[in-house]
Amino acid sequence: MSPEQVAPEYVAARRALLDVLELLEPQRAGLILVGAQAVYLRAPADGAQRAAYTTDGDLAIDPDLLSDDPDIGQVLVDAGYQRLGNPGAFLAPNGVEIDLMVPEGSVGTSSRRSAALPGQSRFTARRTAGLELALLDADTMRIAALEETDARVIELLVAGAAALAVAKLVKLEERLGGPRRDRILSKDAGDLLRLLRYCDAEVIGARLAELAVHEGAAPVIERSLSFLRTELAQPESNLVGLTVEDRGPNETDRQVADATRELGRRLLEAYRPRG
Amino acid sequence: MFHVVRNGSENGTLDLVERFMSALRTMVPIGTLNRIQYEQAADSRWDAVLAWDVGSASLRLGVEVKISSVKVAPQRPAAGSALTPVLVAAFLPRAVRRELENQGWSYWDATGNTLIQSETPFVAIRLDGADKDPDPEPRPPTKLRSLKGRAASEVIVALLQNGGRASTIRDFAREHRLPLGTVSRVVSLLREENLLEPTGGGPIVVTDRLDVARRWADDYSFIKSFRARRYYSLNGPDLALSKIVNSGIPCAITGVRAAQNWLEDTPQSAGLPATDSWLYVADRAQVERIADLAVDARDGQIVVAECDFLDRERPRVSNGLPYVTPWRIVGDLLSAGGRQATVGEQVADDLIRRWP
Repeated sequence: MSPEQVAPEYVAARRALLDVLELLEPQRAGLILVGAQAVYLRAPADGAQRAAYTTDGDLAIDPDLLSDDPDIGQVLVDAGYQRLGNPGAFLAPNGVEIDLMVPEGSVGTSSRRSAALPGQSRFTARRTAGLELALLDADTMRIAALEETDARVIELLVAGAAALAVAKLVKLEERLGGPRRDRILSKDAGDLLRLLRYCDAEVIGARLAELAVHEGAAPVIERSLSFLRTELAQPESNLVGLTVEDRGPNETDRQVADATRELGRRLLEAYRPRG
Repeated sequence: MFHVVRNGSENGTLDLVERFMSALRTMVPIGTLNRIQYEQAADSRWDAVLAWDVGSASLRLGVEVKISSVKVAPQRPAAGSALTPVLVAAFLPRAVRRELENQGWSYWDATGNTLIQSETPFVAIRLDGADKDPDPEPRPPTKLRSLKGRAASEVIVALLQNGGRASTIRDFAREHRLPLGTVSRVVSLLREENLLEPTGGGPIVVTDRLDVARRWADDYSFIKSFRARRYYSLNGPDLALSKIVNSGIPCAITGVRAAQNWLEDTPQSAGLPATDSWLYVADRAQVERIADLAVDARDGQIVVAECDFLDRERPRVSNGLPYVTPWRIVGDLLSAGGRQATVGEQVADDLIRRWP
């Protein structure tokens, strides 16, 4: 991605992410990059006329790999990060929101939003549905700053395209079914389409079929794909409408709608779980 | 000795008569009388009159020679009963031979097709030669009426790219691997329209490169000459372009996008955003599959033309992307008209300024 194509918000979000990863170096093995920053690493915007952007940094926590010490929430607070209302939500000194999330299926059931992790504060992380596959589908990538004056490069696990697609679908399902319209972001649908395009919808579908054999993976995959199937079956689909809303300047509504429907169909068709 | 000699060169009258006589000398078994000679008496109706004594027979052959190719049998002259009329040519097609025979001609051609027929004295010799002319006459060059064709576009681009100059048509054609006939016809058209400097048979020199490009664009069109099709891609226009370029299929970008790239390093920039990607590719069907293209004549952003010149007109690579040679960008944009033509003129002006 050439520097002129990167939105300043995205540059700041990457800077904040690298700051957090430096602070949390002793616990880095238990962290996985998810969210939009992971999407843009998997579906790079090289050559794209429309600059990719995101304003936050999302990290999933693998409870099995996280040590009791240090308490990462406390480390952030001690470094000047401000706790926001929700557990796991922190505001970095440069104004970027950092979210620490534990996949819901990886910790015991609870009525609380916070995730109970040994040795960690209650405010450190929150449970989040849809991130379960990030623990299974991730590999190490080099994460570099997006500004020439910052030479930092940090290696971190980054969720794969299949895990990210499921996370986006679950997020969209929850928000479309929820009461707050302001929480529905067309950008999430745009990120989903971006993954289907850059990472090949059929490859994602086939990868999901491989992942479905892992314990706890099938329910979240089935849930997300059921949502996708239902949306594509509707002539006036909310999901398709959101991708159209997020379209770039050089595509028409019809083209984006057709692309979403066709690539979604290919993903579903390629998903053939064993047994 | 000679009665008439119309043409003394190879396959001329004399040569063909001599070769016919040689052929007659081989037509009868050794030991049989076989004497052939010119008759001294002049007869203006024939190119030659030969006296042929063969065995116990004596024939007088009235020979008419056809130097140029024979498409139809000539009328048999009123020869008088004493002469056997023989048509001699370098080659006689089958249909002509049949017609000659029906009209009572004997004939011979240099490939060996032979018929000597005489009732009195009775002589009948028939031998087969070639059915296809081994040395066909070159067809006269067809005059070019327009510059709309793909081949003509290659000649124009190569000529303009060459600074509007070429030493000879033959060398130019060889150097650019272009058909000699096409180069010759394009140059003739440019000369007839006073777009070349008069050099008295010397080198080819374009008077004004922009004028030639404009004249070319009057006839030519990227869309029509190459039957380009407009598509959209399920992948979106940018990823589609990236997939095509990285597919390994020879391709090159033209149009406004290419002009923007060309003008990038100049003080002026293309005053038009590149909303479409125009591409030449070597295999359109494969590109359609690789980039998930669907025809969209109204809103498509990717315009693909199939061509076979990319191995001759080598694309220029800039920032990892292949672009057509700049004079083709000029022609493609000029032919599109409107604001695109203005961008084409910008590129042409820059080329002329940098390579006067």
